[in-house]
Amino acid sequence: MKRLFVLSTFLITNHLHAQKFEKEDLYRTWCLDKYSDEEAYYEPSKKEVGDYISLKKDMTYEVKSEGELDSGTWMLNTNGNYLELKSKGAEAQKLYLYFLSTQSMVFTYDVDEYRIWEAHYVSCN
Amino acid sequence: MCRVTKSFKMKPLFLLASIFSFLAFAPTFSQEIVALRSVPFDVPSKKIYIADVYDERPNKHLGTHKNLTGDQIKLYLDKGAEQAVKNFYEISLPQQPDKNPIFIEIKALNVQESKRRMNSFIARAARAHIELAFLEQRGSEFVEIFSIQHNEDQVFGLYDKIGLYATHERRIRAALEYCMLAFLDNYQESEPDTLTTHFNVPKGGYRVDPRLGQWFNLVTVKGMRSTYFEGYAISYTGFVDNKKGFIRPYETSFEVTWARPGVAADNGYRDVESFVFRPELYFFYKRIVQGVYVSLSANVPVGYELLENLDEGNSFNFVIGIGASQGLRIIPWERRGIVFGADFFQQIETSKVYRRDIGVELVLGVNF
Repeated sequence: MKRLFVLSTFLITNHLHAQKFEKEDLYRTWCLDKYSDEEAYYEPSKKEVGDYISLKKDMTYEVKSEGELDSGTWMLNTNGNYLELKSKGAEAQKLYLYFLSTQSMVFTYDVDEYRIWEAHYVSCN
Repeated sequence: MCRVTKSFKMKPLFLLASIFSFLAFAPTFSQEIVALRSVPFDVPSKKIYIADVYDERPNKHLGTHKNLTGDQIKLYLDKGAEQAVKNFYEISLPQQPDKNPIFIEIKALNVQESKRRMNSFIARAARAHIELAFLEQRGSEFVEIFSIQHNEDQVFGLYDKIGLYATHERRIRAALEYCMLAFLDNYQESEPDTLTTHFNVPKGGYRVDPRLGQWFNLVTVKGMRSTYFEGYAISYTGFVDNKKGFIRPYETSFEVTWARPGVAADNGYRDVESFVFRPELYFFYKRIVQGVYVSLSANVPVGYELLENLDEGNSFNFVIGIGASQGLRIIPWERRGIVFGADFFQQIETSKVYRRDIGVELVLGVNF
């Protein structure tokens, strides 16, 4: 029931963010800091410690997810407020941005299993 | 004078007839207008501008929708799609004499709404679908140099109809931006240092499924009969139709069954009634032809039995088990109509009457 509440409240608020994101703010390496939902913040699991996303100016990226490295190309859709990440042989992944500054990036994955959580990354630089 | 009087008397009749014929034959849809916000986007190569946009769609609206007050309406872009799209691109790619003029044909542009299963729940799904062709003028001819189909999909909570409806406009802008970025990344005249491999044209071109699957609601009553029990079940099933692949419906059901004649007595009871929910482990539909689906499920029956003892005492027995079923659903009318079908089922339960049971269900219900 708690999960249902979180799901419904999160999805209700997910369109309310209206910040315009600047591409320049994205060019850096982002380290996974924490996750959150409507109720609380959560520490990353042990195998996610040290995970990062490095978004480069040449529109390539490198990501470490649960300790595994991957790379590909990325783009920002300003009007859709999302990043699209494409790696070889995998389907494109969408990350909906909710907050972006030079120090912090908050997004959700466009995947049902993770849709209710916001992922918080901070600049590693 | 006489003529004037006659004309005066005829007018109300004529007016009444006009109103009647209008009400009888006019379309029931009214219109709503969507104005695209002017949000510029980062364009890596600025060697072009959009000289003109041609709307090639047979229907110039964005689709028929229920608005927030529940009225059926047709959505249109403010100023028409041609002007709206041109204006939108002009902010990011302003017209300048040293740039190449590009022409756009709108082959498709619409917004859609449906529902779909999300984990163990039902969610709303929204889509902006677009198909654009980019053309250059060579002499007196227009030559197509790039074409793309694209969907902007987004998922919302089941109760977030407002959020979904309010963001159709944003998904149209996102779709327009995506198409332009893809075009520029494949445009030969773009500055080489701005090109990436992100928008490399896939084999077979940029092709997507233009329609969100239709959501079916089924409310059905099942008559059940097994080796040991008989009874009925009431179910709600929701699923998105899909021509290919497996469909994962959402279903919730409640069953009331009772022991068949002789079964209770054979087990030392006067009567046995069973009340069971049936959460699924796996549940699939597979479309065979339009309106006909095969269903397969593995489930966990959980509930209780009410046992009437021979010596007038009653007792409860918690039941849990594992079940499977294989069946057929026939939905002849897509929008609203009757559903019928049949299932074979098998189950193992912690029942006081049986451990293993097999049976059949006949299904009758409505879809809407």
